[in-house]
Amino acid sequence: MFRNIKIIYRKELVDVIRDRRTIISMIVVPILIFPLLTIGFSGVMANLMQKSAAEKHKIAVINKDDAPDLYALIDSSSKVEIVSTDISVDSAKQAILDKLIRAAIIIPDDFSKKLANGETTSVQILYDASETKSDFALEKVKDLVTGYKLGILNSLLADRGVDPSLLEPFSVAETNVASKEKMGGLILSIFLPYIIILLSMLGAMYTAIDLTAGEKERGTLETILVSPVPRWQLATGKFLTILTTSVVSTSLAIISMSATMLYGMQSFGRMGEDMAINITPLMILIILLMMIPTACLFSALLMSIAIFAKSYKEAQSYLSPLMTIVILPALVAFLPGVELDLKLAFIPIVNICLCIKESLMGHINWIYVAIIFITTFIYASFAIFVTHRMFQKESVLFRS
Amino acid sequence: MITVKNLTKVFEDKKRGRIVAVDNISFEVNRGEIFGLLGLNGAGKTTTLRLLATILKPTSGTASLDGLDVVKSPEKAKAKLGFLTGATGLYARLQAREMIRYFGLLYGMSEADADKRTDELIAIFNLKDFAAVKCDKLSSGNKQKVSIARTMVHDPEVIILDEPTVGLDVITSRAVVNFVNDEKKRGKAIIFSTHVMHEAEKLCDRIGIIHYGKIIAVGTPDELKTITRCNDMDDVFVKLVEDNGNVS
Ligand SMILES: Nc1ncnc2c1ncn2[C@@H]1O[C@H](COP(=O)(O)OP(=O)(O)OP(=O)(O)O)[C@@H](O)[C@H]1O
Ligand SMILES: [Mg+2]
Repeated sequence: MFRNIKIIYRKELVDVIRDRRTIISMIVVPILIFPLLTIGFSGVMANLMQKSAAEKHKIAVINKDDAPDLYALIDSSSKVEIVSTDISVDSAKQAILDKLIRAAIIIPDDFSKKLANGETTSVQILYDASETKSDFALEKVKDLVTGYKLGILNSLLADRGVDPSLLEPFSVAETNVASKEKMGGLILSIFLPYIIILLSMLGAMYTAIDLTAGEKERGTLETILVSPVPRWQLATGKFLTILTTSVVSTSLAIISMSATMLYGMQSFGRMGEDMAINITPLMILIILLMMIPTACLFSALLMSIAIFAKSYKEAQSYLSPLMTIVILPALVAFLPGVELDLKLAFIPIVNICLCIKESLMGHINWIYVAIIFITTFIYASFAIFVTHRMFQKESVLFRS
Repeated sequence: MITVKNLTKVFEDKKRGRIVAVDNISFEVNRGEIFGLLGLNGAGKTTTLRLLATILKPTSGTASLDGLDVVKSPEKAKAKLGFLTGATGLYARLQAREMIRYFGLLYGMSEADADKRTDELIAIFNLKDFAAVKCDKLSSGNKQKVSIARTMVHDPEVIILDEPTVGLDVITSRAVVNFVNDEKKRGKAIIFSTHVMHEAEKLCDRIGIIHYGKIIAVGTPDELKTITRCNDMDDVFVKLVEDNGNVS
């Protein structure tokens, strides 16, 4: 009995490994996806942020003659560049929308005179809130104008012999208490479980199709059914092969992920380091505990659907929507504020995703881990049972 | 020896409704006998043979292979059977030798026995130069040879061949026919289905004509010629089928 299963398993594994598609989806994709994603994602993000912030934004100053001091201050700043002083308000607005300039300061008539007389007046800043760069420009211009304002205020107070610190009876200090793990975990712990679940399914998909619909297409299903091996042993051998590819691709994904976190993120400087999660052996243990029953569930599910199809193509068209359906619950981890509770712990895939997410953030609740591990195995057993039933049905095996 | 008793298979097809592919068929094939199964396309040959191979379950009736009932003990019956149809393909990514050996193991041979038997079959079928070639790279003649070697790996008592010479050149199909004759001399019970009437006439001891799922005539080629008063096997066949044309 186990002899037959072993013979079938060994042959299927050899067969599947000789297929380039399996190697790509089982080995190449899981290894490369994490480095590529981090390079792509963090690299682009860091680059954009730095560039935007460091850029010398082009601005316009309208009616500069009524505020020579303020103009001189802005002109001497290295953060902005005044490119125009003689345009109308309307053309300044248009220039911002056209991204020719990022902001414009409108100085009211008789600004300096009014200031000297102690009259109130106001400076207007034009910007485009839908543009990141314009936002940055607004911040910089505001800083400059506020600095100028404080300077005037201080000298006014000093003239009247008042201590400027009177203006601020107390100060407010903000301190971020989140550890580095948590900060990084927040962003990555949402992404990583999603990708791992996706890879464990993707790793099994080609093998599942190849061993079922692929056999029908190539006409080998009938050959193997003629052999005296009971069908349940055949189904078990195939299931174990599919499970193997899923587990291999999941493990490679976990290794690649940890290595990327450990060595890869530093190359993005401070921002990369801030985002990286310090992955501990305990976290890896939990991810494995979550992913092994999940791999069983996926393997059986993919197999029982693919066996319906008559050809490779047909199987792919069945499994692509399944892919979306299964991945949808994984997106729950993306929702802010969703936390693992007793109800969610029983919902397949959602529970896996949340459990991995929370353990990456450093919250480990062994009771939930146990509940999820066991329930996922129960779901998987049910899927395996269905798969075996499919292998007994001639209406499935010989669909015309 | 093969005994077929009131074998019936009904398919419930969504588009075509109820199809009686095999309709209450009975016949026997003795040891050392080649039984030819002849019929038009869609007559029910392949379905009958699949029922014998336990790939499909009969709707009613049964059959036995070497005394083992295909419904009650399918696995044991299958162990006695060598089965080859146009639909029994080869694993494309396995080498010819791996393919034969794999089935040897599945039939319960030890690794050493499977190796030995594989070498033997490779010699019999002249496959030495192709033993390490992957099956999808073989010519159709060599593919068929590997398939037959796979069928014979456990030296079965009962052999069922569904159109084994289709698409083969003269030399290769002659080799297949000679092989089948040798197996007959070794006392095997053989069913051979074909479209080629002259091949059937030369090779088969008895012929069963199947039409719309029913056996409409059984006999030696000479008996069939006498009944229909025709001399040519093609004419015999056409006459029998036309006489039963309204059966459906
Ligand atoms: N799985 C199935 N589901 C529904 N109908 C089927 C199925 N398999 C065969 N049939 C139908 O049963 C009938 C007999 O088919 P079968 O393949 O046994 O004929 P055949 O004699 O082997 O023909 P050929 O010479 O073309 O190989 C046909 O009408 C076929 O369409
Ligand atoms: Mg046929």
